[in-house]
Amino acid sequence: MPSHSAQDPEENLPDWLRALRNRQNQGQGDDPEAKKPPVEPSAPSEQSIPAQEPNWLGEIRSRYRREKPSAASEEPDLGDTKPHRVKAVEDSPPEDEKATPAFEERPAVVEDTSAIANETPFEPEASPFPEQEPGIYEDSLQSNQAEVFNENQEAIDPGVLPSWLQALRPGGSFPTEDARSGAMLPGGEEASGPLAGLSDVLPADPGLPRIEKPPAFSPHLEVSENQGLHAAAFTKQLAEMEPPPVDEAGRVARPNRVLNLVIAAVIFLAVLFPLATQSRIAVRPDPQLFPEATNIHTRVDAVPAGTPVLVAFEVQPGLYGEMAPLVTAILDHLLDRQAHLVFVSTRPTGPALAERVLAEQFSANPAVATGAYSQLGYLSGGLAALRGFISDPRGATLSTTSGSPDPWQNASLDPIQQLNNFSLVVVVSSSADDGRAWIEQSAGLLPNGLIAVTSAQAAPLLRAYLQSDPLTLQGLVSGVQGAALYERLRTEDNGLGRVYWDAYSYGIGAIVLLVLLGGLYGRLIRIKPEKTSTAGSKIGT
Amino acid sequence: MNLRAGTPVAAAVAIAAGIFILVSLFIPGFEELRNRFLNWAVLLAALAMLLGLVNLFVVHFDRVRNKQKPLYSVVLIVAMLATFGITVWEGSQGPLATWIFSNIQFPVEASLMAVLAISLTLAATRLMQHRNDLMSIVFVITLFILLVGSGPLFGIEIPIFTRTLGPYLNQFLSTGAMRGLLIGVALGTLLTGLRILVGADRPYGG
Repeated sequence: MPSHSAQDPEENLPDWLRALRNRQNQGQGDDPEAKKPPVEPSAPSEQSIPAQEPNWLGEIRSRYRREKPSAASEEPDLGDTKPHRVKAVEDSPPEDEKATPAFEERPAVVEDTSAIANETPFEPEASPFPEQEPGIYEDSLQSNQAEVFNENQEAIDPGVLPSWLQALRPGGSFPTEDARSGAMLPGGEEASGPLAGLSDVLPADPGLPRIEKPPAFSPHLEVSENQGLHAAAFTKQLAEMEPPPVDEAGRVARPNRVLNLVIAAVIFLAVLFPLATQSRIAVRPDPQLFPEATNIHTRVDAVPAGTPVLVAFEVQPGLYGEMAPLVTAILDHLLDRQAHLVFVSTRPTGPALAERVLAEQFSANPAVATGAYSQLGYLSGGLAALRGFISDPRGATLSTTSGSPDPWQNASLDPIQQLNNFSLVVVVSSSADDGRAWIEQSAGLLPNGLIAVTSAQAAPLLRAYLQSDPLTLQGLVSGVQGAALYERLRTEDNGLGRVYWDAYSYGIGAIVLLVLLGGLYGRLIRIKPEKTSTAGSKIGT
Repeated sequence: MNLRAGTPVAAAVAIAAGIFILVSLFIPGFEELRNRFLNWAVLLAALAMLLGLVNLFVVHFDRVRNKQKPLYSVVLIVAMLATFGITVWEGSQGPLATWIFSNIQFPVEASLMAVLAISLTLAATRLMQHRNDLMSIVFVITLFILLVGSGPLFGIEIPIFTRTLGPYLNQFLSTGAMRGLLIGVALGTLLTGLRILVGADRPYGG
């Protein structure tokens, strides 16, 4: 701005600031450093200082100069309030070259940090403790300044990021240099105005930053040559590494589809072989070992002809294959006794499975063929419904087949008013909970208890009721083993239980062999690493 | 009157009904009223099942609408509606309902049980590889005794297993354990009933 180039900023100073400058220049009169050509041409002469300086301060100043002339030559005066421009003073151009306006000068770069540390532009002119020895004060001040200098020097050391961290930084995301103006940087000096020469001055107009083109940030990873060499070496090292040793136990423990197929094939072959060959070599269970099954046979044998027998058919479709031979043996015995079968179930699938058994195994039986049995259907409502049915069989809400006549209209069921009017209650249950519900809810209502025909998985729980007092469970037979046993009791050699018994025997044998072989293999592959490690430790020792 | 489930009236009704059913088991003359109460409970249970069916339909319908694996939900909704409609139309013993049960539900459940048998065999085979500790050894030995004791292997009976060890495990050890389990279940059931009767537990939300 040419309009300002011809003006001297010192001319615009107020009177009080001009007087302060004059006093500072007078204080620098004896300083050798101050004898250099002054920055401002209007600096006052040295003779005016004693007239304006108090006497006591003059004595301190003179004593200080006598005692430490060398230190005074290096350090600013205590009364010196003028800011130092170290490089600017030393490298100041001649007078003829100072036509450039002061506010266009770049702030001097402070190269000598010691000058900054010693710079005390706002030191008071007089010490607040005049009684104290000035030498002591100077010594302590000098030591403190040295400490501050050391701390500042450590603090301003630039951090050096490791190369790998620098490589992680996206290239161009951060400016490599400080984009702030020199006046905003720490240490910058005000070049013009009343604060000219002072450092660390906030800009007068911070809301007007320098308008410049923003840096272009690259989204790509910038890799230097050195980093590329390290990456290549690391990649080569990874490629040359040997794979970790395979854990044999872990490898075997992983799901093995082949083993699944082998086990399935072995079991299928073991079961199908006796069925295909009509094998009858397996010895059926001894009835003397199962008195609870013998009790059932005895109870069924005692059922009067034509009397209703309640069959609670609590069978799940998944266990139908196991239950079918046993149910067939029991129902066959009951039908031989000409009992009137009455089916009921607390499972929705129970009536359908009961009809399936009758259709598959007893379609030729006259009672079944003529429909001389009763299907009460599904008893919904869980335990409450079961309790209601046991308390009042005729009053229970049953979901019979729509369109079919009321089963209670059958003349054979006329004598049934309570549960104990049935000549026998048979619980056919594939789960322990269903059997337990019937046993517990009917306890006390059946003087002779009921009999249970269950799957093998339900037998252990229901067996605990066999010796209860009062009697709740009089007989129990379970699984394919129970079917074979019951057919043996009835001297039946062509029943479904007898056919299944050999298949069961072969299937169990195959499973036992598989478990044993698998257990031995598991032991062996665990012992092998232990032996290897033991041998290795011996060699090492 | 606003009879919400959270009011004390609900708790009073529930406790009174429970005490009445309990007392009627010991005092004769209340059998008919007790059975009527039980029939009400059965009807409520049936309605609850119907509500569960509606809830299942709504959940899967939302999945179809929000396209969260909609294929399975579509299959479920179609199968459910078809089975429900057919069974309501012709009854549970109708020819089409019987065909659905015999040819879809029954084979699926039987196949799952067959797969379970193979899976259990595989698990028992690899048990010693996974857990090679004392309890695993005890488990395998017990399994071996029970399997061999349940019948002859390949038609050959081993008497010490089928006549001694097998029956001993079945009739003494397992029965004793099950009795202890049943006593615990009975005590828990008794305590739960008492807490409901005195109002300490209110599963109905009162």
